[in-house]
Amino acid sequence: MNVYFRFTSMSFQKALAYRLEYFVSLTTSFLYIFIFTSVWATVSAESPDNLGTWTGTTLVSYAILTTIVKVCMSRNDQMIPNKIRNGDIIFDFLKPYSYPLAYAFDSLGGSIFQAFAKAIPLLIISILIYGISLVEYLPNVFLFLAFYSLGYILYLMVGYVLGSMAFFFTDVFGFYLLYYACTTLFSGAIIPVDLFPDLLKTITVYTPFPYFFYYPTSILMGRGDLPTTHYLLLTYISQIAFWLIICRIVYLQGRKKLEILGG
Amino acid sequence: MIEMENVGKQFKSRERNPGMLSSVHSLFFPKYKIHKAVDAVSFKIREGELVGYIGQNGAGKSTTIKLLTGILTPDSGKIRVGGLDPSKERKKNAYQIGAVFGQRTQLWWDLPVIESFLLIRSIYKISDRMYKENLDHFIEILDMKDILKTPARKLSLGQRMKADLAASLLHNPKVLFLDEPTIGLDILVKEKVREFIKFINEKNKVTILLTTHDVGDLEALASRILLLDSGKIQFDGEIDSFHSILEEGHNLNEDEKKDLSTVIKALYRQNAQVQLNS
Repeated sequence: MNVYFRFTSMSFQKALAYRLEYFVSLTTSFLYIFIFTSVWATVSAESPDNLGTWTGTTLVSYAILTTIVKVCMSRNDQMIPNKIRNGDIIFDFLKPYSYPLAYAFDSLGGSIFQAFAKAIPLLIISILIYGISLVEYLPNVFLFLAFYSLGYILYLMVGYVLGSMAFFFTDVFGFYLLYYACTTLFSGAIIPVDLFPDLLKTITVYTPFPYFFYYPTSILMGRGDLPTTHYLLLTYISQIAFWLIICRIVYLQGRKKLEILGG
Repeated sequence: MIEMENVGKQFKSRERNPGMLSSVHSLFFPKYKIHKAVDAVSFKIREGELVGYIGQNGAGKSTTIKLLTGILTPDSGKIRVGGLDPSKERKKNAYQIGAVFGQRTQLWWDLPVIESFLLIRSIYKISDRMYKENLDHFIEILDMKDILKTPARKLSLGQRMKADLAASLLHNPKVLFLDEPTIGLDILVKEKVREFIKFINEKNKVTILLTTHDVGDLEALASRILLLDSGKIQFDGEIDSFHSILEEGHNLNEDEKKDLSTVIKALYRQNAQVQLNS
Protein backbone atom coordinates (compact mmCIF):
# COMPACT_ATOMS: atom_id res chain seq x y z
CA MET A 1 0.00 0.00 0.00
CA ASN A 2 1.22 3.50 -0.77
CA VAL A 3 2.71 5.08 2.32
CA TYR A 4 0.28 8.01 2.40
CA PHE A 5 -2.77 5.78 2.06
CA ARG A 6 -1.33 3.75 4.92
CA PHE A 7 -1.58 6.94 6.99
CA THR A 8 -5.21 7.26 5.92
CA SER A 9 -5.89 3.67 6.90
CA MET A 10 -4.22 4.03 10.29
CA SER A 11 -5.97 7.28 11.05
CA PHE A 12 -9.32 5.60 10.20
CA GLN A 13 -8.51 2.76 12.60
CA LYS A 14 -7.40 5.21 15.28
CA ALA A 15 -10.75 7.00 15.06
CA LEU A 16 -12.44 3.69 15.86
CA ALA A 17 -10.38 3.18 19.00
CA TYR A 18 -12.50 5.45 21.18
CA ARG A 19 -16.16 4.53 20.97
CA LEU A 20 -17.43 6.87 23.69
CA GLU A 21 -15.84 9.86 21.99
CA TYR A 22 -17.63 8.87 18.79
CA PHE A 23 -21.06 8.80 20.43
CA VAL A 24 -20.44 12.09 22.25
CA SER A 25 -19.39 13.87 19.06
CA LEU A 26 -22.31 12.39 17.13
CA THR A 27 -24.67 13.78 19.78
CA THR A 28 -22.90 17.16 19.65
CA SER A 29 -23.28 17.35 15.87
CA PHE A 30 -26.95 16.53 16.12
CA LEU A 31 -27.35 19.21 18.78
CA TYR A 32 -25.82 21.72 16.34
CA ILE A 33 -28.34 20.68 13.71
CA PHE A 34 -31.16 20.99 16.22
CA ILE A 35 -30.06 24.46 17.34
CA PHE A 36 -29.51 25.89 13.85
CA THR A 37 -32.69 24.45 12.38
CA SER A 38 -34.69 25.79 15.35
CA VAL A 39 -33.16 29.25 14.95
CA TRP A 40 -33.82 29.36 11.20
CA ALA A 41 -37.34 28.02 11.59
CA THR A 42 -38.08 30.81 14.07
CA VAL A 43 -36.36 33.55 12.04
CA SER A 44 -38.11 32.55 8.82
CA ALA A 45 -41.47 32.50 10.58
CA GLU A 46 -40.92 35.88 12.29
CA SER A 47 -39.36 37.87 9.44
CA PRO A 48 -39.65 36.05 6.11
CA ASP A 49 -39.08 39.28 4.13
CA ASN A 50 -35.48 39.75 5.29
CA LEU A 51 -34.18 36.44 4.02
CA GLY A 52 -33.53 37.29 0.37
CA THR A 53 -33.97 34.25 -1.83
CA TRP A 54 -34.03 31.91 1.17
CA THR A 55 -37.17 30.35 2.62
CA GLY A 56 -37.71 28.61 5.94
CA THR A 57 -37.43 25.20 4.24
CA THR A 58 -34.24 25.98 2.32
CA LEU A 59 -32.63 27.48 5.42
CA VAL A 60 -33.40 24.38 7.49
CA SER A 61 -31.96 22.21 4.69
CA TYR A 62 -28.90 24.48 4.55
CA ALA A 63 -28.39 24.23 8.32
CA ILE A 64 -28.50 20.42 8.14
CA LEU A 65 -26.33 20.06 5.04
CA THR A 66 -23.72 22.57 6.09
CA THR A 67 -23.33 20.81 9.45
CA ILE A 68 -22.91 17.48 7.66
CA VAL A 69 -20.35 18.98 5.25
CA LYS A 70 -18.52 20.37 8.27
CA VAL A 71 -18.58 16.99 10.02
CA CYS A 72 -17.04 15.35 6.93
CA MET A 73 -14.15 17.79 6.90
CA SER A 74 -12.09 16.25 9.63
CA ARG A 75 -8.73 17.60 10.68
CA ASN A 76 -6.71 16.94 13.79
CA ASP A 77 -5.94 20.47 14.95
CA GLN A 78 -3.98 19.28 17.97
CA MET A 79 -1.65 16.99 16.04
CA ILE A 80 0.97 19.42 14.73
CA PRO A 81 1.22 21.77 17.76
CA ASN A 82 1.36 18.82 20.17
CA LYS A 83 4.04 17.04 18.17
CA ILE A 84 6.12 20.20 17.95
CA ARG A 85 5.68 21.00 21.65
CA ASN A 86 6.48 17.53 22.99
CA GLY A 87 9.15 16.81 20.37
CA ASP A 88 7.48 13.77 18.79
CA ILE A 89 7.75 15.51 15.42
CA ILE A 90 11.30 14.13 15.26
CA PHE A 91 9.89 10.79 14.14
CA ASP A 92 8.22 12.47 11.17
CA PHE A 93 11.42 14.22 10.17
CA LEU A 94 13.41 11.05 10.72
CA LYS A 95 11.59 9.18 8.01
CA PRO A 96 11.68 9.54 4.22
CA TYR A 97 8.26 11.05 3.60
CA SER A 98 6.75 14.47 3.25
CA TYR A 99 5.37 15.53 6.59
CA PRO A 100 2.71 17.91 5.17
CA LEU A 101 1.41 15.14 2.90
CA ALA A 102 1.39 12.66 5.78
CA TYR A 103 -0.68 15.18 7.76
CA ALA A 104 -3.11 15.58 4.86
CA PHE A 105 -3.61 11.84 4.35
CA ASP A 106 -3.90 11.28 8.08
CA SER A 107 -6.70 13.86 8.15
CA LEU A 108 -8.32 12.14 5.17
CA GLY A 109 -8.60 8.94 7.21
CA GLY A 110 -10.44 10.88 9.92
CA SER A 111 -12.74 12.40 7.29
CA ILE A 112 -13.62 9.05 5.75
CA PHE A 113 -14.47 7.79 9.22
CA GLN A 114 -16.60 10.86 9.89
CA ALA A 115 -18.38 10.52 6.56
CA PHE A 116 -19.39 6.91 7.21
CA ALA A 117 -19.82 6.91 10.94
CA LYS A 118 -21.31 10.36 11.51
CA ALA A 119 -22.51 12.03 8.32
CA ILE A 120 -24.67 9.12 7.19
CA PRO A 121 -26.41 8.64 10.58
CA LEU A 122 -26.90 12.42 10.85
CA LEU A 123 -28.39 12.54 7.38
CA ILE A 124 -30.77 9.67 8.12
CA ILE A 125 -31.85 11.21 11.44
CA SER A 126 -32.36 14.58 9.73
CA ILE A 127 -34.44 13.05 6.93
CA LEU A 128 -36.61 11.28 9.47
CA ILE A 129 -37.05 14.26 11.80
CA TYR A 130 -37.05 17.23 9.42
CA GLY A 131 -38.26 15.47 6.30
CA ILE A 132 -35.67 17.13 4.04
CA SER A 133 -35.68 15.85 0.48
CA LEU A 134 -32.36 15.11 -1.18
CA VAL A 135 -33.79 14.02 -4.52
CA GLU A 136 -33.84 17.56 -5.91
CA TYR A 137 -30.13 17.94 -5.05
CA LEU A 138 -28.99 14.75 -6.80
CA PRO A 139 -28.13 16.43 -10.17
CA ASN A 140 -25.65 18.67 -8.30
CA VAL A 141 -23.82 15.89 -6.47
CA PHE A 142 -20.82 15.58 -8.83
CA LEU A 143 -20.20 19.32 -8.94
CA PHE A 144 -20.60 19.41 -5.17
CA LEU A 145 -18.04 16.61 -4.72
CA ALA A 146 -15.54 18.46 -6.93
CA PHE A 147 -15.85 21.70 -4.98
CA TYR A 148 -16.05 19.89 -1.66
CA SER A 149 -12.69 18.24 -2.50
CA LEU A 150 -11.11 21.58 -3.39
CA GLY A 151 -12.57 23.10 -0.23
CA TYR A 152 -11.17 20.24 1.81
CA ILE A 153 -7.68 20.74 0.35
CA LEU A 154 -7.89 24.41 1.29
CA TYR A 155 -9.21 23.51 4.73
CA LEU A 156 -6.21 21.21 5.32
CA MET A 157 -3.76 23.84 4.12
CA VAL A 158 -5.11 26.48 6.46
CA GLY A 159 -5.04 23.94 9.30
CA TYR A 160 -1.47 23.03 8.47
CA VAL A 161 -0.33 26.65 8.50
CA LEU A 162 -2.14 27.26 11.76
CA GLY A 163 -0.65 24.19 13.46
CA SER A 164 2.81 25.00 12.12
CA MET A 165 2.72 28.33 13.92
CA ALA A 166 3.92 26.20 16.84
CA PHE A 167 7.32 26.10 15.14
CA PHE A 168 7.57 29.83 15.80
CA PHE A 169 5.45 30.31 18.93
CA THR A 170 5.31 27.68 21.62
CA ASP A 171 1.65 28.17 22.43
CA VAL A 172 -0.72 28.60 19.50
CA PHE A 173 -3.98 28.42 21.43
CA GLY A 174 -4.69 32.11 20.72
CA PHE A 175 -4.33 31.53 16.97
CA TYR A 176 -6.89 28.74 17.17
CA LEU A 177 -9.34 30.92 19.09
CA LEU A 178 -9.04 33.58 16.40
CA TYR A 179 -9.37 30.96 13.67
CA TYR A 180 -12.47 29.38 15.20
CA ALA A 181 -14.08 32.81 15.59
CA CYS A 182 -13.33 33.63 11.94
CA THR A 183 -14.62 30.24 10.78
CA THR A 184 -17.83 30.69 12.75
CA LEU A 185 -18.41 34.08 11.15
CA PHE A 186 -17.05 33.77 7.61
CA SER A 187 -17.46 30.11 6.66
CA GLY A 188 -21.21 30.18 6.36
CA ALA A 189 -21.44 27.39 8.92
CA ILE A 190 -24.09 29.38 10.80
CA ILE A 191 -25.34 32.12 8.49
CA PRO A 192 -25.24 31.77 4.68
CA VAL A 193 -22.74 34.29 3.33
CA ASP A 194 -25.22 35.85 0.89
CA LEU A 195 -27.26 37.06 3.87
CA PHE A 196 -24.29 39.17 5.04
CA PRO A 197 -24.23 42.96 4.51
CA ASP A 198 -22.43 43.90 1.26
CA LEU A 199 -19.19 45.06 2.89
CA LEU A 200 -18.86 41.93 5.00
CA LYS A 201 -19.68 39.80 1.97
CA THR A 202 -16.89 41.50 -0.02
CA ILE A 203 -14.38 40.88 2.79
CA THR A 204 -15.51 37.28 3.23
CA VAL A 205 -14.83 36.18 -0.33
CA TYR A 206 -11.16 37.13 0.05
CA THR A 207 -10.76 34.89 3.09
CA PRO A 208 -10.48 31.10 2.69
CA PHE A 209 -13.41 30.43 5.03
CA PRO A 210 -16.52 30.48 2.76
CA TYR A 211 -14.79 27.97 0.47
CA PHE A 212 -14.89 25.33 3.21
CA PHE A 213 -18.62 24.96 3.83
CA TYR A 214 -20.70 27.73 2.26
CA TYR A 215 -19.91 27.27 -1.43
CA PRO A 216 -19.97 23.43 -1.48
CA THR A 217 -23.29 23.36 0.40
CA SER A 218 -24.79 26.08 -1.82
CA ILE A 219 -23.63 24.19 -4.93
CA LEU A 220 -25.28 21.01 -3.64
CA MET A 221 -28.50 22.91 -3.05
CA GLY A 222 -28.29 24.45 -6.52
CA ARG A 223 -28.49 28.00 -5.18
CA GLY A 224 -29.01 30.49 -8.01
CA ASP A 225 -27.14 33.40 -6.46
CA LEU A 226 -23.67 31.85 -6.79
CA PRO A 227 -20.93 33.04 -9.15
CA THR A 228 -20.47 30.97 -12.33
CA THR A 229 -18.75 27.58 -11.97
CA HIS A 230 -15.73 28.80 -13.96
CA TYR A 231 -15.29 31.87 -11.82
CA LEU A 232 -15.72 29.87 -8.64
CA LEU A 233 -13.19 27.29 -9.84
CA LEU A 234 -10.69 30.05 -10.58
CA THR A 235 -11.22 31.51 -7.11
CA TYR A 236 -10.68 28.13 -5.47
CA ILE A 237 -7.50 27.55 -7.46
CA SER A 238 -6.22 31.03 -6.55
CA GLN A 239 -6.90 30.42 -2.86
CA ILE A 240 -5.21 27.00 -2.99
CA ALA A 241 -2.18 28.42 -4.83
CA PHE A 242 -1.85 31.22 -2.26
CA TRP A 243 -2.10 28.88 0.72
CA LEU A 244 0.26 26.40 -0.92
CA ILE A 245 2.93 29.08 -0.99
CA ILE A 246 2.25 29.93 2.66
CA CYS A 247 2.44 26.22 3.58
CA ARG A 248 5.79 25.89 1.82
CA ILE A 249 7.24 28.96 3.53
CA VAL A 250 5.97 27.91 6.95
CA TYR A 251 7.33 24.36 6.48
CA LEU A 252 10.81 25.44 5.38
CA GLN A 253 11.16 28.26 7.91
CA GLY A 254 9.56 26.17 10.64
CA ARG A 255 12.05 23.34 10.20
CA LYS A 256 14.89 25.82 10.58
CA LYS A 257 13.29 27.15 13.77
CA LEU A 258 12.72 23.71 15.24
CA GLU A 259 14.22 23.44 18.68
CA ILE A 260 13.94 20.14 20.45
CA LEU A 261 16.06 19.95 23.51
CA GLY A 262 16.67 16.84 25.50
CA GLY A 263 15.99 13.18 24.72
CA MET B 1 30.59 6.25 8.14
CA ILE B 2 29.82 9.18 10.48
CA GLU B 3 31.77 12.40 10.37
CA MET B 4 31.30 15.65 12.27
CA GLU B 5 33.68 18.51 11.69
CA ASN B 6 33.55 21.63 13.88
CA VAL B 7 29.79 21.35 14.19
CA GLY B 8 28.01 24.01 16.20
CA LYS B 9 24.36 24.37 17.13
CA GLN B 10 22.89 26.95 19.43
CA PHE B 11 19.41 27.62 20.73
CA LYS B 12 17.84 30.87 21.79
CA SER B 13 15.64 30.78 24.85
CA ARG B 14 13.63 33.48 26.56
CA GLU B 15 14.65 34.42 30.05
CA ARG B 16 12.75 36.28 32.75
CA ASN B 17 12.90 36.95 36.44
CA PRO B 18 10.26 35.48 38.75
CA GLY B 19 7.13 37.42 39.67
CA MET B 20 4.12 39.02 38.02
CA LEU B 21 5.75 42.36 37.21
CA SER B 22 8.70 40.65 35.55
CA SER B 23 6.38 38.58 33.42
CA VAL B 24 4.64 41.75 32.19
CA HIS B 25 8.02 43.43 31.63
CA SER B 26 9.30 40.48 29.63
CA LEU B 27 6.20 40.62 27.45
CA PHE B 28 7.30 44.02 26.10
CA PHE B 29 11.05 43.79 26.62
CA PRO B 30 11.98 40.15 26.11
CA LYS B 31 15.47 39.01 27.03
CA TYR B 32 17.03 36.06 25.29
CA LYS B 33 19.79 33.73 26.30
CA ILE B 34 21.91 31.89 23.77
CA HIS B 35 22.65 28.30 24.70
CA LYS B 36 25.41 26.49 22.83
CA ALA B 37 24.07 22.94 22.69
CA VAL B 38 26.93 21.69 20.53
CA ASP B 39 30.17 23.64 20.24
CA ALA B 40 32.76 22.85 17.54
CA VAL B 41 32.25 19.12 17.86
CA SER B 42 34.45 16.91 15.67
CA PHE B 43 34.67 13.14 15.52
CA LYS B 44 34.68 10.26 13.06
CA ILE B 45 33.09 6.85 13.47
CA ARG B 46 34.15 3.98 11.25
CA GLU B 47 31.75 1.51 9.64
CA GLY B 48 30.69 -1.22 12.07
CA GLU B 49 31.92 0.62 15.19
CA LEU B 50 29.82 0.79 18.33
CA VAL B 51 30.60 4.02 20.13
CA GLY B 52 29.32 5.07 23.54
CA TYR B 53 28.38 8.74 23.63
CA ILE B 54 28.24 9.95 27.19
CA GLY B 55 27.83 13.17 29.09
CA GLN B 56 25.72 14.72 31.77
CA ASN B 57 22.12 15.80 31.20
CA GLY B 58 22.05 18.83 28.90
CA ALA B 59 25.57 18.13 27.58
CA GLY B 60 24.30 18.08 23.97
CA LYS B 61 24.16 14.34 23.26
CA SER B 62 20.59 14.23 22.00
CA THR B 63 21.17 17.39 19.96
CA THR B 64 24.12 15.66 18.28
CA ILE B 65 21.88 12.74 17.34
CA LYS B 66 19.23 15.09 15.98
CA LEU B 67 21.89 16.79 13.88
CA LEU B 68 23.16 13.45 12.58
CA THR B 69 19.67 12.33 11.66
CA GLY B 70 18.90 15.57 9.81
CA ILE B 71 16.14 16.61 12.20
CA LEU B 72 18.11 19.71 13.16
CA THR B 73 20.26 21.86 10.89
CA PRO B 74 23.72 22.79 12.18
CA ASP B 75 24.62 26.47 12.52
CA SER B 76 28.20 25.75 11.50
CA GLY B 77 30.49 22.90 10.52
CA LYS B 78 30.13 19.87 8.32
CA ILE B 79 28.24 16.62 8.91
CA ARG B 80 28.40 13.47 6.79
CA VAL B 81 26.58 10.22 7.42
CA GLY B 82 27.37 7.54 4.85
CA GLY B 83 28.61 10.33 2.58
CA LEU B 84 25.38 12.33 2.81
CA ASP B 85 24.64 15.69 4.39
CA PRO B 86 21.74 14.78 6.72
CA SER B 87 20.03 18.17 6.83
CA LYS B 88 20.25 18.79 3.07
CA GLU B 89 19.55 15.20 2.01
CA ARG B 90 17.16 14.28 4.80
CA LYS B 91 15.05 11.76 2.88
CA LYS B 92 18.03 9.95 1.32
CA ASN B 93 19.76 9.86 4.67
CA ALA B 94 16.62 8.49 6.32
CA TYR B 95 16.89 5.26 4.29
CA GLN B 96 20.34 4.48 5.71
CA ILE B 97 19.70 5.32 9.35
CA GLY B 98 17.51 4.16 12.19
CA ALA B 99 17.00 5.80 15.56
CA VAL B 100 15.55 4.95 18.93
CA PHE B 101 14.82 7.60 21.51
CA GLY B 102 14.37 5.91 24.85
CA GLN B 103 12.05 8.56 26.19
CA ARG B 104 9.79 8.64 23.15
CA THR B 105 8.11 6.13 20.91
CA GLN B 106 7.61 6.01 17.17
CA LEU B 107 4.76 3.51 17.56
CA TRP B 108 1.19 4.61 16.95
CA TRP B 109 -0.20 4.91 20.44
CA ASP B 110 -3.74 3.64 19.88
CA LEU B 111 -3.04 0.92 17.33
CA PRO B 112 -1.59 -2.58 17.57
CA VAL B 113 2.20 -2.69 17.21
CA ILE B 114 1.95 -4.61 13.94
CA GLU B 115 0.19 -1.62 12.32
CA SER B 116 3.23 0.57 13.06
CA PHE B 117 5.46 -2.08 11.51
CA LEU B 118 3.26 -2.17 8.39
CA LEU B 119 3.47 1.60 8.14
CA ILE B 120 7.27 1.41 8.35
CA ARG B 121 7.26 -1.25 5.63
CA SER B 122 5.36 1.16 3.38
CA ILE B 123 7.52 4.15 4.32
CA TYR B 124 10.80 2.42 3.49
CA LYS B 125 9.32 0.34 0.64
CA ILE B 126 10.62 -2.84 2.29
CA SER B 127 10.12 -5.94 0.14
CA ASP B 128 7.77 -8.61 1.47
CA ARG B 129 10.63 -11.06 1.83
CA MET B 130 12.91 -8.71 3.74
CA TYR B 131 10.04 -7.57 5.95
CA LYS B 132 9.08 -11.12 6.84
CA GLU B 133 12.66 -12.21 7.43
CA ASN B 134 13.45 -9.25 9.68
CA LEU B 135 10.19 -9.38 11.55
CA ASP B 136 10.44 -13.12 12.25
CA HIS B 137 14.01 -12.63 13.34
CA PHE B 138 13.21 -9.75 15.72
CA ILE B 139 10.18 -11.54 17.13
CA GLU B 140 12.39 -14.48 17.99
CA ILE B 141 15.35 -12.59 19.44
CA LEU B 142 13.32 -9.96 21.30
CA ASP B 143 10.54 -12.30 22.31
CA MET B 144 7.81 -10.09 20.85
CA LYS B 145 5.27 -12.63 19.63
CA ASP B 146 2.65 -11.76 22.21
CA ILE B 147 2.75 -8.01 21.79
CA LEU B 148 2.24 -7.59 18.04
CA LYS B 149 -1.52 -7.29 18.29
CA THR B 150 -1.47 -5.11 21.41
CA PRO B 151 -1.94 -1.32 21.15
CA ALA B 152 1.30 0.52 21.99
CA ARG B 153 -0.36 2.36 24.88
CA LYS B 154 -0.93 -0.96 26.65
CA LEU B 155 2.68 -2.14 26.46
CA SER B 156 5.09 -2.11 29.37
CA LEU B 157 8.17 0.08 28.98
CA GLY B 158 10.32 -2.97 28.21
CA GLN B 159 7.90 -4.29 25.59
CA ARG B 160 7.65 -0.85 24.05
CA MET B 161 11.42 -0.52 23.83
CA LYS B 162 11.73 -3.91 22.14
CA ALA B 163 9.08 -2.90 19.61
CA ASP B 164 10.79 0.45 19.03
CA LEU B 165 14.12 -1.26 18.45
CA ALA B 166 12.54 -3.64 15.95
CA ALA B 167 10.76 -0.74 14.24
CA SER B 168 14.01 1.16 13.81
CA LEU B 169 15.74 -1.84 12.20
CA LEU B 170 13.09 -3.26 9.87
CA HIS B 171 14.59 -1.47 6.86
CA ASN B 172 18.16 -2.74 7.55
CA PRO B 173 19.77 0.64 8.25
CA LYS B 174 23.55 0.96 8.04
CA VAL B 175 23.65 3.33 10.99
CA LEU B 176 21.68 3.17 14.22
CA PHE B 177 21.38 6.00 16.71
CA LEU B 178 20.35 4.88 20.15
CA ASP B 179 19.46 7.61 22.60
CA GLU B 180 19.25 6.07 26.07
CA PRO B 181 17.67 2.81 24.88
CA THR B 182 17.84 1.14 28.29
CA ILE B 183 16.44 4.00 30.36
CA GLY B 184 13.96 2.78 32.94
CA LEU B 185 14.18 -0.89 31.96
CA ASP B 186 14.44 -3.73 34.45
CA ILE B 187 17.62 -5.82 34.58
CA LEU B 188 16.28 -8.69 32.50
CA VAL B 189 14.94 -6.53 29.68
CA LYS B 190 18.09 -4.42 29.82
CA GLU B 191 20.18 -7.57 29.28
CA LYS B 192 17.96 -8.62 26.39
CA VAL B 193 18.22 -5.21 24.75
CA ARG B 194 22.01 -5.16 25.18
CA GLU B 195 22.30 -8.63 23.66
CA PHE B 196 20.22 -7.51 20.73
CA ILE B 197 22.27 -4.35 20.15
CA LYS B 198 25.48 -6.36 20.30
CA PHE B 199 24.05 -8.93 17.91
CA ILE B 200 23.02 -6.45 15.21
CA ASN B 201 26.35 -4.66 15.53
CA GLU B 202 28.44 -7.81 15.21
CA LYS B 203 26.35 -9.84 12.77
CA ASN B 204 24.84 -7.11 10.60
CA LYS B 205 27.80 -4.71 10.92
CA VAL B 206 25.46 -1.85 11.82
CA THR B 207 27.36 1.25 12.94
CA ILE B 208 25.95 2.33 16.28
CA LEU B 209 26.16 5.55 18.25
CA LEU B 210 24.82 4.88 21.71
CA THR B 211 24.08 7.61 24.23
CA THR B 212 23.54 6.37 27.73
CA HIS B 213 23.90 7.18 31.41
CA ASP B 214 24.19 3.51 32.21
CA VAL B 215 27.75 2.37 32.77
CA GLY B 216 26.60 -1.22 32.28
CA ASP B 217 25.63 -0.38 28.69
CA LEU B 218 29.09 0.99 28.00
CA GLU B 219 30.90 -1.92 29.58
CA ALA B 220 28.75 -4.46 27.77
CA LEU B 221 28.69 -2.80 24.37
CA ALA B 222 31.05 0.05 23.59
CA SER B 223 34.60 -0.32 22.38
CA ARG B 224 35.13 3.42 22.21
CA ILE B 225 33.84 6.33 24.24
CA LEU B 226 33.07 9.93 23.33
CA LEU B 227 32.58 12.17 26.34
CA LEU B 228 30.66 15.38 25.71
CA ASP B 229 30.44 18.18 28.20
CA SER B 230 28.88 21.63 27.72
CA GLY B 231 28.66 20.94 24.02
CA LYS B 232 32.36 20.07 23.63
CA ILE B 233 34.07 16.71 23.21
CA GLN B 234 36.23 16.14 26.30
CA PHE B 235 37.38 12.64 25.59
CA ASP B 236 37.53 10.43 22.53
CA GLY B 237 39.24 7.08 22.82
CA GLU B 238 39.14 3.39 23.55
CA ILE B 239 37.20 2.35 26.62
CA ASP B 240 40.36 0.86 28.17
CA SER B 241 42.30 4.10 27.87
CA PHE B 242 39.38 5.93 29.48
CA HIS B 243 40.30 4.34 32.80
CA SER B 244 43.78 5.72 32.74
CA ILE B 245 43.19 9.34 31.82
CA LEU B 246 42.57 10.62 35.28
CA GLU B 247 44.95 13.04 36.77
CA GLU B 248 46.08 13.10 40.34
CA GLY B 249 43.50 15.72 41.26
CA HIS B 250 40.72 13.18 41.31
CA ASN B 251 42.14 11.34 44.29
CA LEU B 252 41.15 7.96 42.93
CA ASN B 253 43.07 4.91 43.92
CA GLU B 254 44.07 2.23 41.43
CA ASP B 255 40.98 0.11 42.15
CA GLU B 256 38.66 3.05 41.71
CA LYS B 257 40.32 3.89 38.38
CA LYS B 258 39.30 0.46 37.10
CA ASP B 259 35.66 1.13 37.83
CA LEU B 260 34.15 2.97 34.87
CA SER B 261 31.35 4.42 36.91
CA THR B 262 33.78 6.04 39.38
CA VAL B 263 35.89 7.37 36.55
CA ILE B 264 32.91 8.96 34.81
CA LYS B 265 31.68 10.49 38.06
CA ALA B 266 35.14 11.95 38.70
CA LEU B 267 35.26 13.41 35.20
CA TYR B 268 31.79 14.92 35.55
CA ARG B 269 32.83 16.46 38.87
CA GLN B 270 36.02 17.80 37.31
CA ASN B 271 34.14 19.38 34.40
CA ALA B 272 31.52 20.84 36.71
CA GLN B 273 34.29 22.37 38.80
CA VAL B 274 35.98 23.85 35.71
CA GLN B 275 32.68 25.42 34.67
CA LEU B 276 32.10 26.76 38.16
CA ASN B 277 35.56 28.32 38.25
CA SER B 278 35.24 29.86 34.82
